[in-house]
Amino acid sequence: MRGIDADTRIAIVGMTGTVGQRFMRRMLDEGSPLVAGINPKKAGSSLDGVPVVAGAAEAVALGANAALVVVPAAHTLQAVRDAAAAGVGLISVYTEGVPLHDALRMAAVCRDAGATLFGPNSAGVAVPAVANLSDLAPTLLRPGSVGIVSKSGTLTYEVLVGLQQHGLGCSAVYCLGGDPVVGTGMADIVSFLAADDGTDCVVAIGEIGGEAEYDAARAWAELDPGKPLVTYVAGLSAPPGKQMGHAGAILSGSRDDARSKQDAFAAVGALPAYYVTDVAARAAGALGMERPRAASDIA
Amino acid sequence: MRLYEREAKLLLRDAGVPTPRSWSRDDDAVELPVMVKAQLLEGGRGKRGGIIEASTKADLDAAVEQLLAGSDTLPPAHEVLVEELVAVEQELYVSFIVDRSAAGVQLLVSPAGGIEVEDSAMTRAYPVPIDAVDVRGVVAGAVSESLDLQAPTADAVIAAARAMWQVLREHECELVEVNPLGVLADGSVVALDARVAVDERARFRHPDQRSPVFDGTFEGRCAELGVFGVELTGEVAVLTSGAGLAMATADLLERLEAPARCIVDLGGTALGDARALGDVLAAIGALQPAVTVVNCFLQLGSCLEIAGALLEARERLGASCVVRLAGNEGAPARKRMKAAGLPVYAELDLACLAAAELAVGSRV
Repeated sequence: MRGIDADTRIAIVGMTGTVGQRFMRRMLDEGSPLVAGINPKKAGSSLDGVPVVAGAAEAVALGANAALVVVPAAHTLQAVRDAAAAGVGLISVYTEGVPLHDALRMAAVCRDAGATLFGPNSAGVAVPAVANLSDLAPTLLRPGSVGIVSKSGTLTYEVLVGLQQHGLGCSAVYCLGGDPVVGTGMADIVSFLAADDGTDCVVAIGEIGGEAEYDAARAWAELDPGKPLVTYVAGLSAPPGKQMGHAGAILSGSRDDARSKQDAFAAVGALPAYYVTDVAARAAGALGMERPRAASDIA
Repeated sequence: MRLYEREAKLLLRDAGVPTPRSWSRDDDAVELPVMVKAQLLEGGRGKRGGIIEASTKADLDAAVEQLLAGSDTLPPAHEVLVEELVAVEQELYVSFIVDRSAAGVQLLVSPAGGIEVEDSAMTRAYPVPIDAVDVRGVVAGAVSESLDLQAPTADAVIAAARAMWQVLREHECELVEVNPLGVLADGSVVALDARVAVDERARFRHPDQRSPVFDGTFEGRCAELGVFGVELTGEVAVLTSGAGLAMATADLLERLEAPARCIVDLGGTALGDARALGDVLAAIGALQPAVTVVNCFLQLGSCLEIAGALLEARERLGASCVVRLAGNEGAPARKRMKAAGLPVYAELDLACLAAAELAVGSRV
């Protein structure tokens, strides 16, 4: 699996669109290593000094090894194919509404090419002060030692705010995407962060539905990395049989409720936080930093 | 989007899967006896009286009337399916299903079709690459390993499964399931019941696909408005800028003993469109929540936009509401809401506390 590091160089696929330009401006402001935008119709031009190229191969020639994909849903599969074929090692798909079969194909293409795919419908991935391929504002990305893996973008924002209130920052944020089929699972990132020297505590944010949390718990037990794992699973109050997420599960079993998943995490030594507002305190406690700061300290 | 059995069987029949003969409910050419089957998406239809055998025309008419009207155990059927009665020797299970954990498709087979087959130890799974044009090899292997069948029946099952795969690929399905796949005395097979779910997000590639049926439920109304909603049984309506946040907010409210009446996910960029937001708020109003919480934490979207839309749609927000706005342009947006006299918070826990207090107050 390919994560973000000091060598990460970013291309935005669809940079010239409205969403792409927002990402571009933010990356330029915060100093993320953006090297190219991709749009075959505007190849040869540039935007705020960032060259626009025709395809991923040209972006790779400019040094790109990571792609943030923000093109419309109908074009996303082609964009991922192009990036994977050009040897881009990390691909994060922000676009929502991608057809399911396209998501299956993307996952297969990236598996075959050895590329690490996040999403579709992922808020993105980031390492503070290194590279930010996510929609997270730099104010949320304070450098620190907590590594986050999450099924939900909005809950990641909540946890990051909570961590700041406890004086904590993050070592990395990996959002997996809210769609039923995504490229990288929770277990892969939990294992990655378990081995990451900059991460002293891992926070896993899950949801009801699916099996990802069980896979992650198993992976953690096997690694036994000697650092704390704090877990949160949204949907504790969800009644059985109701589909609560946008895309939801089809292979829904009897054990995909929040409490069963938390029990599985607890069984491998994780510290479950049952409410999202308790996650940061759990992490702070695990790191020996109990005192929350006043809300007025937070920008 | 789940298709009705009748629609699912049409797709399967077109692809070459044998299905029972069927008639429209007022067809005089009907050959009795028949099964009259309520077209419903709910599970457990058979157990709940949704399938009625009819051996006379009078029985048939009565069954149709009964199923369309509904009963204590079953909602009114959208339509009925009138099918020939088929005598089978054995009931198998065959399906292709998208497996989210594996980010792939699985072929599931079982020699014992019927209810709760998914939980059966006899059900075996075989991965199938999404780009496989023909699945003869995978299917033949599965059939010989997991189903103990005579040669003509094995061939018939393989042919049916290959046709099911064609349906999955051509119509971009999440699920193509035949349960049971009946084995007849002559060794041939027939799809007795079928479930097919197509991917609504691929609709743009399938212009002849029917539109979803927006039933009278809250969920249906939300889908019609392009948002995701779930009706629950509590007191507080929850609108958020994400599905995860919606669940987390409902969880917090439940802890505060003010459970959610509904959750609505407005989507990642939320609704800056006052008219659309007004329609969503009207749908929520019909549920008569004690309190409405709007909880948006935005990064790329703007809190100012949602604040503007909320103020424009204010009369539909109801008297008792709490707004939480955080993230991009949160501070000026909160200032606007405060100036307009709306209770507004930056912190999730404070907003939930305020909503719970309002909910408790409304009970007195």
